[in-house]
Amino acid sequence: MKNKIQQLRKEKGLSQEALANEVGVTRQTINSIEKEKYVASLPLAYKIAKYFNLSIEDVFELTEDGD
Amino acid sequence: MNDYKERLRLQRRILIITLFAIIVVTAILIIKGEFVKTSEDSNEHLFDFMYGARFGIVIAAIVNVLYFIVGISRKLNSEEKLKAGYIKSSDERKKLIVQNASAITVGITYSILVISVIIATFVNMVVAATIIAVLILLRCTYTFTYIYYRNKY
Repeated sequence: MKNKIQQLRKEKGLSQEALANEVGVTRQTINSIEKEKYVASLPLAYKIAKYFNLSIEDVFELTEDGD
Repeated sequence: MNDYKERLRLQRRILIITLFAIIVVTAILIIKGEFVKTSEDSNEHLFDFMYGARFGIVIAAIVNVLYFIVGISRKLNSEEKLKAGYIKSSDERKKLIVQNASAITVGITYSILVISVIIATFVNMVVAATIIAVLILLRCTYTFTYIYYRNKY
């Protein structure tokens, strides 16, 4: 699962810690999602997309292998 | 967040009761002379080790319970710490890590116990029977929790 979280976060001038606090997870979770080591759950993906005023599809992209 | 606060309050209450119970039971054992009993037979060192281990476990349990009570009280007295604690306890990645680590640990423990039963049957039947009982208990716990979560989700 690819995502644009790092790009969106930097455009807003946000740190990982600040975004993590906004969506209610730890900084390590945001870091793992950005590095594509961890796939966010649907509620978390929704929260992140909502925070950036975007749809889930605008933030996350399903890759060909389904991850 | 309010649910988390209530859960912490309940946990603290349970821990305080547990601490009280440990202290009372330990006091009774000390009064009865169980903690200071000296070795009476040829297994002198084993005897001393057993009493030492029992005493150590009780001390460790008291320290652990106190540590958790203080930690919970600190969270309940500060909104900032409460929020941090809530995020830490509800973080989905952490939950997944704990879930995976626990599953692997249980699998390895199960395998070790099965091997131990085979070895114990050659050495001591009481030990073998105890390990078999533990294995049965593990299997029953797994079955019940599996049925519970199968019905839940």
